[in-house]
Amino acid sequence: MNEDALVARIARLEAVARRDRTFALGSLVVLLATAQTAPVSGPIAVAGASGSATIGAAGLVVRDANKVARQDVGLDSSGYPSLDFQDAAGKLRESMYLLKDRPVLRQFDSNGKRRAEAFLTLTDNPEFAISDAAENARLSIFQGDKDLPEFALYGSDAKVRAYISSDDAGSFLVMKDGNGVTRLDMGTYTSGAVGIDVRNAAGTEVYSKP
Amino acid sequence: MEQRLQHDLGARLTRLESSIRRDRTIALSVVALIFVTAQAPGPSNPTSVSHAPIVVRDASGASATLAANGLTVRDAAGKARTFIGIDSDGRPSADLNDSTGQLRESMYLLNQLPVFRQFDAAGKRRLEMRLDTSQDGELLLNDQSEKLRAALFRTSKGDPQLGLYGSDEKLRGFFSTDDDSPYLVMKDNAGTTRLYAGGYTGGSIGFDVRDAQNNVLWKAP
Repeated sequence: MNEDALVARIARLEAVARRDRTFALGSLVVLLATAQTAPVSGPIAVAGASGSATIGAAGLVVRDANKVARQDVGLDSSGYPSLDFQDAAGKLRESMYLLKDRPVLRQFDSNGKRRAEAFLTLTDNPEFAISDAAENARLSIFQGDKDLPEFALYGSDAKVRAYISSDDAGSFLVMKDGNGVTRLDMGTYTSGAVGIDVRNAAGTEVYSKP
Repeated sequence: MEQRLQHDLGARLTRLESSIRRDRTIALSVVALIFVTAQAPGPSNPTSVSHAPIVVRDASGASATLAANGLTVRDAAGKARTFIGIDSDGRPSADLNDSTGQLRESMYLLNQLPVFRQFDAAGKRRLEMRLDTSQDGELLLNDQSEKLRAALFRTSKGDPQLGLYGSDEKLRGFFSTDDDSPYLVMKDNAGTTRLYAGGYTGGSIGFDVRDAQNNVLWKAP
């Protein structure tokens, strides 16, 4: 091989080497710029005449033809897992979610007031409650602090007027007046006896049987 | 002198060829890696079918995965928190899991019957709304041992009833009505009725208190 041929061959190889190196480095830069263990990707939307459905990282949102969000499922703005239904005005009317990990199902009226709900309390005891337009509880069935089951009725002041409960010995019904005084008590007493008594506004027994 | 130059050029050539092979290998490997790991899906039209799950992820690490069986939303820690779709048993289902990944709330069809359940942190079923096998609605509250303590339901005769139960899951009291009149019944832990108020089978209305042997101690009117 003569000197000229060798020089030409080297020149070609050097050019190829520079090109390949540039390509390799460029590819590496692209890889580093885009490759992540958790690549971020944008929402995916499917739209039609009736509305649209959008899947984002937080879940699925379905909008009606007026672009009002009517249904959400996923993680809400507080990070709670939830399934929400909104009315035509976009107001939340029904929600199933975990409030700080506690399960809740709520139904709201058109004013946004909570009217019916099923949930577990802070002690994980179950409760179902119905509230009035002022969001005062008027009826509930629950397992109370002493783990006793109870069905209770409340006045418009949200104070209990009557409840029926049971322990392992038996059950009992209590009726109260507007001042919270027990006026009628029937069922199994703490002593174990069974009977009925009626009391006056001061809470004094005025009738008792047997 | 000329021989030495040729030797140098030859060595230079060998190095260059080696360098080119190395760079080409790197470049091709990088390209292959990009193709293998790339997963940013483009927008799909309604008629398109994807045979692989579609994942949407944000910068926090939270993600939503649309698979053939439904949608799963994971939090930034990677825990599945929400699922809606067809569950592993083939039932339509909406499930919410707490931050530890435990199922806490679920709405689904169990043997074609609608069920809504809430679970405590120990995984026990504590509240349930469902249609029973007669297609009647009922609300059931259970204690931490998953024993029934309170229920709203329709009896086998179709009467609506509120029932309260002891820790042994046996009925202690119930309030119900038939088409004639309502009635309240209170029982002791042996299952004996100790107090009755409301309409009797004969049509009269009143109340009575009984002893542990079910003997009437007092009755009115």
